[in-house]
Amino acid sequence: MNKIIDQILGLAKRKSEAAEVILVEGQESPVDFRSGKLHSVQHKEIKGAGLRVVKNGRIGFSSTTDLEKLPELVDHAVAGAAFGQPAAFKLPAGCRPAGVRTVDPKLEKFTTVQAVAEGNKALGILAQKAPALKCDIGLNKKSYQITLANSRGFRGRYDKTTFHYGLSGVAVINGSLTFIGQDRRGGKLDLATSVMTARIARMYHDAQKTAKLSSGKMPVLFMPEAMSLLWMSIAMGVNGKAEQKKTTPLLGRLGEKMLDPRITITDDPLLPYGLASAPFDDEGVCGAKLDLFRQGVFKSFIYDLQTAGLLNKRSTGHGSRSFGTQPSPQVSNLVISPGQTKLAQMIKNLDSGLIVYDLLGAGQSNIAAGDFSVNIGLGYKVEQGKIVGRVKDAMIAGNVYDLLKNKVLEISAETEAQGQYHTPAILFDGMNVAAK
Amino acid sequence: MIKKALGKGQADYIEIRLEEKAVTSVVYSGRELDGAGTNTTKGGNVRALYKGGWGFVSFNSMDQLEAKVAEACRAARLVGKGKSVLAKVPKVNADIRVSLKDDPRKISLAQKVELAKGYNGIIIGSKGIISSGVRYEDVFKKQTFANTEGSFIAEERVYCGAAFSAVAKDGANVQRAHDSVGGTEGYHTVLKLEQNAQQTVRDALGLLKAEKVSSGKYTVVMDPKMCGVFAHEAFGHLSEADHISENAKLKKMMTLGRRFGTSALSILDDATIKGQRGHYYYDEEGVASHKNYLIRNGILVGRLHSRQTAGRMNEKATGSARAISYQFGPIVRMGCTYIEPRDCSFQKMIGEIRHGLYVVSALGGMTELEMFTFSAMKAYLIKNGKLGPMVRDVILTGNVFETLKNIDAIGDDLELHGGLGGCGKDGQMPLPVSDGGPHIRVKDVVVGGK
Repeated sequence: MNKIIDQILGLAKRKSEAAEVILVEGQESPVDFRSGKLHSVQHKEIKGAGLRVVKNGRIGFSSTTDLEKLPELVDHAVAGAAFGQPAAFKLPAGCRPAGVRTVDPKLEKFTTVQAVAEGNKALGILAQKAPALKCDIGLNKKSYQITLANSRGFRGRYDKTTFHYGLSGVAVINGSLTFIGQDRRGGKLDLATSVMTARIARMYHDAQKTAKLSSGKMPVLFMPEAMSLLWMSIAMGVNGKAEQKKTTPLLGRLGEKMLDPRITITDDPLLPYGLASAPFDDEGVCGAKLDLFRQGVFKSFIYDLQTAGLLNKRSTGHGSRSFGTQPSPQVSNLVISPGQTKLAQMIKNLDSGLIVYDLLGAGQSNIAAGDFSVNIGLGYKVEQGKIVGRVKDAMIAGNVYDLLKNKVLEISAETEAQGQYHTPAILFDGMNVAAK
Repeated sequence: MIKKALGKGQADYIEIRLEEKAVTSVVYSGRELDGAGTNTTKGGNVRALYKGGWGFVSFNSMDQLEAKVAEACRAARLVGKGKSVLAKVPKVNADIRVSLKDDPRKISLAQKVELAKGYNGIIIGSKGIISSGVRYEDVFKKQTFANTEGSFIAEERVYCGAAFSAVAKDGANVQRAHDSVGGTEGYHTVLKLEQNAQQTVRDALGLLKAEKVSSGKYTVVMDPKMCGVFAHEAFGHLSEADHISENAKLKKMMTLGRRFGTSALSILDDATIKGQRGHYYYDEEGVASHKNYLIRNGILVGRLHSRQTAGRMNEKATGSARAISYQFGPIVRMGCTYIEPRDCSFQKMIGEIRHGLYVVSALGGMTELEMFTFSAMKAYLIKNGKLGPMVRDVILTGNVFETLKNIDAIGDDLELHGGLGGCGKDGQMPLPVSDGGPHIRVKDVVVGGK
């Protein structure tokens, strides 16, 4: 199938009991605007291989981008196996991949010249609608091919495209720095310039007034942009590695009602054009839709081969890596079930509370346990269903599991892709808000 | 091949950089060996300048270099709208090879594992310690650079270092301590570090018993590590000309000739010091590294430049354009940043303080223009000229310009420090750097306890 793969496997088989090769070949073309000006146009090619071997029952790994020195790659992997972890898995011989759309032909044809033009168009709109905003823009098209093969006979290959489009701006409004941004990441060419600029313009407009805020408990509407923080925490919680290391609050809770019954979270590696979609995972295990929470009930952890083996489970097809690292369990596309009420109606119904878009300082919280205490980077006060101004110097704190189980007031009917999270907005009741 | 490819490009200036790298690491966490092994990379890039705009192409396969040059020139033509200005620098032809008595590449992986295991054993085997971390790492890098001005440079670099961490626990009280060493001198950098491992354990256990510091204004003595972090993070980044040329407010603050401190204060960035982690002969634009004074005798005298920022500001190139790998173009960075030593002994510095704090080693920090926040790993109270008990959760905040003015004693005990990590900027992380200084004393530092 591929000369390089065959060569590596051939060499490795002579020196080890089992071997697996991943080969990544691709390119990306980032176009960046800074402070309203075209800053750089780049083209990056990537070609590299990762080799995992099992020798005397232990795992060895090495990677290289020098595909002319394959014997060295094999020697490094074998040498590392002397000190590797005992292998708790058998490599898969094969599976029948489901059809999944991972390549967008329109994106493949999209040129850097078109990317520059799109960025300029966005700058033009924002210069009119949000004149004080200094804008950074990034458009990045990636396309690559992943080939995976192992000594038990698995052979697989697929092509993949991804597109990232980020618009962000900073302005001094009423004496304080205000960051406003919108971000799209997915498998398709998604030139959402008009939607993104319209949202930024509205957020910019709403930030011109500052709302007074006093500390206390109040309803807070997490827009899809802000929901990522919560799903990141859930993604850590369902990770089989956290189960193995006993660091997840979900330990021993399979089958229990952990979230609000209106919440179903499905991991879907076969979502058309999803950011994390693939016909098989990075270890050659075919994935399928998997409910992690169904109507609030915790249904499944996610595993890669090694973690599953250590826990006497089966891989769920979540082995994830680049060619330069060993696999570890990672969620693919998380699809969260929508609610009944339109987002606009939810805001109208809100008597007094906050809307948050951007939360800062998540890295300093104990996210694994679900705890967070974050600054509101961009958020607004709502009174009688209307936005009355931006809130400044405020923090919100809580626990993700507590919020999603006990504090859900309403879930929006609309969902939106925030990278790999396909999420509605959620209104939570009685959140702790501290104003400085 | 390289020269031929350069000749085909259509731009004001073109350079090609090729890189080969091998990284060997050994990682212990707790009682487990997480992994040991070697990864290699080979790659290169072409950077082209046209009417002031850069085009950049990186790759792993060296085939069709001419096509890559053409691609970089096309990209530059999309960006370029003004004038190409690069500071003039000498044409260089150089071939620099590493020759070390104890090259880490000659040491077996088994020996490296054994070494790390020994250090890890000291930490995890200590009473009261619940978790440990030991990382050994060596990096061999060979870079080849050529440009359309006729420079051709090959340079090898070898980095070697180790990092330790210890977590101590007593009930709900959990405390961490760490240490790291690193440089370009060879394998002996990581030998005989038992003392460092033991000290890391003592620090973690000491922090369990330490009281939280009370917030307020203190006279602070910084150890060489904290002094280095201050020199690099609080001041060094403000000296990077790419920041200065993009920010009108900063440009005004950083006017050459302005007084920043007493005549005893000198801060410099010097990437020519051999053995340091931040040492290199030529930067990634082929410009020789320099000993660059930033503040000399209290006066701002210089800043760090790429050829483009130097050209635009009509100043000299300083050999400060660096890239972490072939996947990135060079940007303005530091090498080895430190405060120059003077003659005050540590004893005298402490002896003159009635009520103060001795802060040792930094955990991390944040800066936003002239404002900085640093957290110390540990600190000791100073009472009537003597060191007192250890305190924890010490966070120093302030304005860098006021703080520089308040430095009233500079020690005689210069130490430079590299470690294993590095500096991050514009997505390029970690870049090997060193920093340091002697002990320094600063009046009126705001310390925020928790």
